[in-house]
Amino acid sequence: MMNRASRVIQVAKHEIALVRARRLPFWTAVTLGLVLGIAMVGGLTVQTAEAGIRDRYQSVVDRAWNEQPDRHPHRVAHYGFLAFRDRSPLAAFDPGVESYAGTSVFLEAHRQNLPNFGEARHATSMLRFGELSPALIFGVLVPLMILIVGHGTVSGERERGTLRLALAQGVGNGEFLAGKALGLAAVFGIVALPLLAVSLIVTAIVVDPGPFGQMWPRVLTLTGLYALYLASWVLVTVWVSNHAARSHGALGALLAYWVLTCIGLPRAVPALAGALHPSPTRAEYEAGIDGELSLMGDSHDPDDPFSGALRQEYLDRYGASSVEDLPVNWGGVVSAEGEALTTRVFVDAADRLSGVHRDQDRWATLAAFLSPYMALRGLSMRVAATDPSGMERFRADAEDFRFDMVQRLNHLHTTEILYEDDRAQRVEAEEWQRFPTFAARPPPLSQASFGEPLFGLALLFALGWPIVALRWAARGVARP
Amino acid sequence: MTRGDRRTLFRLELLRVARSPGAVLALALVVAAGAFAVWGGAQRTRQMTDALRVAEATHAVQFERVLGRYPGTTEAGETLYYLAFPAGTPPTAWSGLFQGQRDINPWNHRVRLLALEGQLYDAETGNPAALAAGPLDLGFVLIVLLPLVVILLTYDVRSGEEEMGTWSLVLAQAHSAREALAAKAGARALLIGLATGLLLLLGMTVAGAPPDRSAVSVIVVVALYVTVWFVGSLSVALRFRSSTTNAMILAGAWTVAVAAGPAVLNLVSAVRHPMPEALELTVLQREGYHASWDRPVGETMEQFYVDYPHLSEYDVPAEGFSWAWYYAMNHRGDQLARESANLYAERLRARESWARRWSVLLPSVATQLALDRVAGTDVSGHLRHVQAVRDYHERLKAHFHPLVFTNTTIEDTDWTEVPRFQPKTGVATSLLALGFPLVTLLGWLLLATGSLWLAIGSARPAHDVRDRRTEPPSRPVRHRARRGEWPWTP
Repeated sequence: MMNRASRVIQVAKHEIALVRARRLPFWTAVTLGLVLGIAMVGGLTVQTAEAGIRDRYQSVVDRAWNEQPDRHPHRVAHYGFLAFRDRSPLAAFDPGVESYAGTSVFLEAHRQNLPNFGEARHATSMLRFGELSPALIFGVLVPLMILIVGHGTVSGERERGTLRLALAQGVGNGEFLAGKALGLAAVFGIVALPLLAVSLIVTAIVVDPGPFGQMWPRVLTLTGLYALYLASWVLVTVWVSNHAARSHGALGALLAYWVLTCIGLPRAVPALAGALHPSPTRAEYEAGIDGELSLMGDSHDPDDPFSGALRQEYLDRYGASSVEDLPVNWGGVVSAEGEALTTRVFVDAADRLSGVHRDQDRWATLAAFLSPYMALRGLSMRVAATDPSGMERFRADAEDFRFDMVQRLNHLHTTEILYEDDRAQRVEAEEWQRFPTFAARPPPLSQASFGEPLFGLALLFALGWPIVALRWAARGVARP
Repeated sequence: MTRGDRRTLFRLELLRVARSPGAVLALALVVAAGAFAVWGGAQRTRQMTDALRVAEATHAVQFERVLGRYPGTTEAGETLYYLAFPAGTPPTAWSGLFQGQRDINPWNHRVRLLALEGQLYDAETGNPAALAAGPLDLGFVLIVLLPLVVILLTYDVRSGEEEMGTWSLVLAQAHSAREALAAKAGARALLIGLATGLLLLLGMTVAGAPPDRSAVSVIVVVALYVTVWFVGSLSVALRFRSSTTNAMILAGAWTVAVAAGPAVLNLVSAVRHPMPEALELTVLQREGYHASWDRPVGETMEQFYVDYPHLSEYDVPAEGFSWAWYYAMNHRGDQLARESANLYAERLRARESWARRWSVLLPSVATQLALDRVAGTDVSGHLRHVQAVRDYHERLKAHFHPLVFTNTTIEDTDWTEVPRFQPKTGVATSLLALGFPLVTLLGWLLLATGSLWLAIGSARPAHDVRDRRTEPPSRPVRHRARRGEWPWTP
């Protein structure tokens, strides 16, 4: 007498044998290996080239900063600094929004520049069909393989009349379904999971992590996420195959589900969200900033009316009768005060803009409950540090760096430069080497994973509902 | 068989497709998606037109404010430091329908008289997550979704009847298998043609696209593309395979055509054409300008006169600040970055022509590139805009430099004569101007037709049709039952 578990395993073994008989694992592995090979070689080449370019120019910029001659601090504030965003090392696995976010941003006084360039800017519209990456392969193509290999797993047995045989020989309905799911999962566990792990491990070894820490925890998390996701596809496939009267119908239903969740929704939802919460165009964005700045006057102009109150405050504090008598450089004081005010406008505008983007992205989070792929994508980008929040963080870090740099220069202007004959004076070159260089702080893994719990819940939901549905199906009377 | 019989057969077939819930749902979904795409396109176009107006209004406000703040005796050069002149290329009628890269590349610049290279490349303010997802424009509906409907309507055109056991019934109504299949194909072609026509008509009406050569180009390209899919998919469906196999083959072809294939091409393109010039020109431009502050005035002016010899007749103070020197320093930045900026544009062009050449492999990419060309939303369109901005910057310089070099004051400047931006919107795109992608589509149509012809030629007589319902695995199952197991496999 065999127990329940061994009966399940028996069905699973039979499923594996059936799949092997059609030589499907071989062809799946060959196709997958080929596409994955192209994606890995290409992805890693682009990654190293792009990281190399950014490294090179960041060091050029750092050196140029340090080698500045004696300069007036305000001159240096306009000379500014170019900050380059580090490409996440795991972008070779999941590029996320990496190609669509700016690569470098010019940081200078009085102005907020938007990050510019990015791979998408150099591409033709061919890019808009999607970027080839291991993430796309395991998120979109492997599910297609699962449903092509597995759509007839139950319905085929039913069509051939072998389901009747199996049930007659004492296999329970639930055992049969569990065995089928186990068998299909084993096939893809053997074919796809090693390739997934290899692609992640190779990426982690080959690519220089830079400031991105926790590479191995990230690799492990990603492996787990994709395994869970693919498991949900196996379960859905078995459930649909059991539900459908014929294999043909099962394939149709599964293909429709795949097209909807992997191709349709991921594009339709952001489009809908964009229509509901339109982002301002750059012209509108800049017009808003211009409007607010016009209310505060010009920090280049020490006689500007806005500085009247500030002037009185300084005159009172130092007991001076005019700004020329102040022990500090009045021009520097005005610049520093002006920078603080304008920066608040810039930061508010940037926050408002990312608020609109976040409103749009919220729809994607909710839609993840309909589309497991969107749930996976949301999580995968976060773990790979290629999600929009990483790009936001770069922008915020760069803005903080800009503000600190400009204010430090304004402080030099205030203390080291005399008010009289201001423009003719210089600060010594050694001073520039004392400035810190820009270092990005990529988000840690914990924040990446738990920042948006809904994606995790959606993935669990994608795994949970087919289990419940299968259990429910197992309870009913078998339909041989 | 008479004409009337054929018509009856055709009508019957039309009715059968129209009664199949899957086909109706798919057709309805694709039309709904198309309607949404057209509406979204109209909204984006309106937003762009608004943005152009906002840019003009912002400029007018800024103009009043800057000129109002300074006494009339201020040098014009000082106010020109602040003034930003709008330079936006308006959307074409088609750009909302075939969005291309228009949501990624900047198209609405504000040009200051300063170094230009620092002003050209700032990003637009779109949401990177939405950009990465790709636009849901009419192009997507026609190129990606419509082929799915074609596949759904055709994949079991023969095998479905065989598997249902109704093939002999169909044959009983027609003279031959060929007649029956012609009626089936005709009915489906009509429905697909109607859906395609409806989508194009809707798009053109809402977007207000005039019926010019561009419209002809769009209609021909879309018709060719859909026909390639229809004929190709029929040629798979007419061979003697099971519906399941047909579905798998066509789903695989679709995945390669609209997802995996373009992604591979794009990756190869990115590997083949790295773009260090983008960052190089940024760095050079900035160094060129700022280094000039620490150099003698004369040196910078010498370099400036290389490009603008006619301005050397004016005196520029050899020591201390002057606005002439200031703008010459700015020009120095552009001068140093010129080579890498040219190289950058060249690389972009190289990428585009590479993509157009290799789109021979994928009708989907060829169609996308052709439609984007018509809409002016491709790389060429972007480069045209950038060139127009460069020209505008030169015209502004030609206008203002003499004023700056003669220290003209605000009140002595005629501000009404300031040149305005002239966009290069391009003319209607004729079929011939589409170039390589059109040849690609024609080639694919030839290929698909040949394949269909072979499929019809290889068709066995109708009585030889085997029932495909109980197709066994292609090889015997290697599964030996051991004692205590259930050997339920035959």
